[in-house]
Amino acid sequence: MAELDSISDAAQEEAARPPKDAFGLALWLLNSLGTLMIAAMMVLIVSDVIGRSFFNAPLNGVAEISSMLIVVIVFLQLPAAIHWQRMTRADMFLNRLAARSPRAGQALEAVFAGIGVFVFLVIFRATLPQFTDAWEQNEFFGVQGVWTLPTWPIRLAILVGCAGAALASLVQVAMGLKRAFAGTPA
Amino acid sequence: MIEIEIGLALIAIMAGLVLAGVPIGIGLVFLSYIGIGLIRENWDLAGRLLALASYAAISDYLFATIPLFVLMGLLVSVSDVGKDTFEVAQHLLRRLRGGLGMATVLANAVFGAVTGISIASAAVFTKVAVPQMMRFGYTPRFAVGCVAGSSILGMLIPPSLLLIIYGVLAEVSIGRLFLAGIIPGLVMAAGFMLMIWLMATFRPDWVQPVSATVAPPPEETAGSLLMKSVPITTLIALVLGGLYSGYFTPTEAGAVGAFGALVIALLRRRLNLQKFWRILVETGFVSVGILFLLIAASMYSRMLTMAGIPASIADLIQALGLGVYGFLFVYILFVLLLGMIVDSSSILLIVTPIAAPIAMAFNLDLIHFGIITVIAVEVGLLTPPFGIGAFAVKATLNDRRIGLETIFAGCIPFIAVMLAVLALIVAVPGLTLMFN
Amino acid sequence: AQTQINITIAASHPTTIAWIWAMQQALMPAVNQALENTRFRIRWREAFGGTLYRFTETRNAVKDGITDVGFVGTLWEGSAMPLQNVTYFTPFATDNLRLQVDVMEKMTAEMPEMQKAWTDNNMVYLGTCGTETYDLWTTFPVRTVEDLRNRKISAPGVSATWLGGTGAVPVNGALTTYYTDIQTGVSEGTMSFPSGIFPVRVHEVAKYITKVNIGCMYVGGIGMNRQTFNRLDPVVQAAFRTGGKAYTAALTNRVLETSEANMREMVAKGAELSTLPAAERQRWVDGLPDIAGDWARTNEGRGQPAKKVLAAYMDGLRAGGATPGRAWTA
Ligand code: NA
Ligand code: NA
Repeated sequence: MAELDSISDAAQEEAARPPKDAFGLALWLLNSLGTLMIAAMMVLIVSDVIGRSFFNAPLNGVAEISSMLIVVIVFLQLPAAIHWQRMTRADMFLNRLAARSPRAGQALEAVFAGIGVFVFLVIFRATLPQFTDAWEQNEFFGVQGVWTLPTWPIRLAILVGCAGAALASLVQVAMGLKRAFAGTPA
Repeated sequence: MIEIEIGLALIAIMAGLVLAGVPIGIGLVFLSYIGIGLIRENWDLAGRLLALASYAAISDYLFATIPLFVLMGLLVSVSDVGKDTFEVAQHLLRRLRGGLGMATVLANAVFGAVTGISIASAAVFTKVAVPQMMRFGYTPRFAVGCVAGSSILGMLIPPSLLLIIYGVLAEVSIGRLFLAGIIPGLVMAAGFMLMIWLMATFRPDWVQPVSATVAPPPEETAGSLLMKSVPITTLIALVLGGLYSGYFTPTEAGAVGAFGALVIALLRRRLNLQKFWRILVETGFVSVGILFLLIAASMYSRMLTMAGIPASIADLIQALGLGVYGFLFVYILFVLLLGMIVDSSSILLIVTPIAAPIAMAFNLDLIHFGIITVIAVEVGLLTPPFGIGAFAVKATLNDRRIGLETIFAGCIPFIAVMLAVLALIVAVPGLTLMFN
Repeated sequence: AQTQINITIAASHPTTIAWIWAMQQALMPAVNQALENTRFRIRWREAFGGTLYRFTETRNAVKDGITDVGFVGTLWEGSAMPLQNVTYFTPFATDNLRLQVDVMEKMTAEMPEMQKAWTDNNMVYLGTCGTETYDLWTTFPVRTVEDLRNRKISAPGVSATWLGGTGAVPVNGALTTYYTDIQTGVSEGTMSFPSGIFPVRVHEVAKYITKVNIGCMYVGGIGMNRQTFNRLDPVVQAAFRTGGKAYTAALTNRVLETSEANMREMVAKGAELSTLPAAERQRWVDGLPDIAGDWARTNEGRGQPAKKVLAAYMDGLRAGGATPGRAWTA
């Protein structure tokens, strides 16, 4: 069944190309930054393995840095995942509803996206003081005297990710409502 | 006990929201916020807990390597290593009904010796096995069920994150637990293969309909078979050999495997910069899908803990005053129910400290009990509404035509086998204690 | 009439670990007992074993009120509570856990600098938690410091600095990965203490236990959310202070007893116990870089009175009769 490959191939190709609109481009750039970090993490871990196994020279802090990096990666890529509708869900009911009544389907989509706006604003608001604390008190992770890195970039990534995710959800609320009232299916 | 009522109500609402089609991660975060706010009557606190869990839940070296296992799977798939492997398997198993399904199970059993988490297996094999099985006429439902179902071998065959967590909580030797997992893992793999053969023989419509139009398999010679086997054999040798001779840890295996797959793809000239970028972007999308669910699941299980749900059910079990088999039955049922709503490590954190002392009082061997627990927990990976194994397949597959419900349906025969093996292991403790 | 008070008590680890065991078996009963003839009753809501938060969140969980009472591992809080980590930067100082617990408890009670870390993090300090002295678990016998050269030793975080000068290669990991890491050869041993290492059965794969006496360490303590504490009646507040004292006493006893029992069992199961000769230990100590000095200077640079804390700690140990392997100063 080659068509299975070709469909997701086309979708993958589209996602890999920078979009034309400014909002899409911004999300695409955040996503790309996260993508580069995944590659960097692979190089980092393999270097540690090689350095430790063959040169008695492990890289300090690879485990800690990776465990922080993964948070940054997730939040940088979250807005794009929402925008391009890659969040995991069960769509059986929605598909049936949309087949019967496209308007109702779109309205429900708008409600779900609204929940997204809400939760990401909640996390944004609660992360903001964490960011200012980390910034003002020079919070770090790692071991003093061995290596340390500041934690504020991680909090900042969460803030940016939540803001982007809330906006991406908001766009979907608007589109859902527009289609629900216009009656055009997705 | 108003908290319990809030908790139970939120479990029901969760099931409703998931069925209605809300993005599962977002739905869980939302319910966690509502639940904590209501239980503690403090909405600021609820927000702070969400913010805290947002990074703490996945800020772990183990989870950091999930994208790398995903990347490995995509690279194996794009460089046609997976396709070649399955062509070899198809040729070798062409006279066997359900042969490719069995090949997927076997591949998962081997890969299980490399990874400690089932999500990694699901992420690796979805892109590799599902398109190939469908190419040879398997139904989508069976193909995805096969990948999700056999991925559980990753946490039964050592190394295994779940066995490590259990070992620490129950204070038993992790090494002995690992040894104890081998036979049940092999029995489970054999059980899956037997089930596939039976279904392919007696219910071909479910597995590989005779009517399906199938592309004729390529002609194979000894030489072509060998050529097609070299890349995958090299990759397995690299990862398994490196792991068991002490060059890297199971956590690091993802990075080494991805790197090895990258080198193979480059050597086979299947990769240019553009294509590599495409794969990296896809890796990001798949990983976010899985990791955000882990964050949300962590918030949700914290909320249930605050509601006191696990503690009150445990009290209930203790109050029943059962015999040993009665206790095991109720215990397994409890784990299976929890498996429907929370993630696997949370279940272990919740049940082990309560259940291990009771099991000891019944003179059950804690190693035996651990394998029972882990198999029961793993069923939860495949059961709706919250089944992270099925979610991982869905996120990786990214095909709108194959819905989550199809994946859950495909898992049913595998769950049946797991329960049968579970019953066997309850009845025959020797299966887990052979090497001990 | 009776007044019932809801208190959530939680930890990132299960009650099988002594640090948490003492919360359930010493602190809670002591609080209950202290309130026996009063009109107050505590309705405890227990969340041990990491079901409410993970080990990286122990400070935030109490600070934010996710739990009312919690075990706070200051060893994971090098950034927010650096002064509490003085023991980790003064290795080979003492193997007398009772003395160390006394000194740290006194410093926390009497030095405003130490108290401030808890207050700034919105916590009231109730009880103290420390480990017995660190030793070596290896796959090879260790008779001299030279035996460690080029050996890979699981030593995550600050413990990597204790290997400075030995030529050993520190390998990352966690308590839960040591077994597999050593079994497969990723590392060839680790530094730990009996009551911590016994549950993960590392002696099965690294059977050479070498007593080095790297020193006892202050892990952290029991914190109570400040708002929760301030809302309580003085009678209940006093009960929690009593509970904290009971925690410290019961924990220290438990750690020392478990430690001995665990060591005996490891030897019974085939582990080979030996002691690093005093002269070799001194060579190890003398070869270490200026760990404490570097730590103090770094933290002074961040506006933390680390020099004063370091001096108070070392003086406290000496006043209690200890002879630190090295006179750490800044
Ligand atoms: Na495994
Ligand atoms: Na489930």
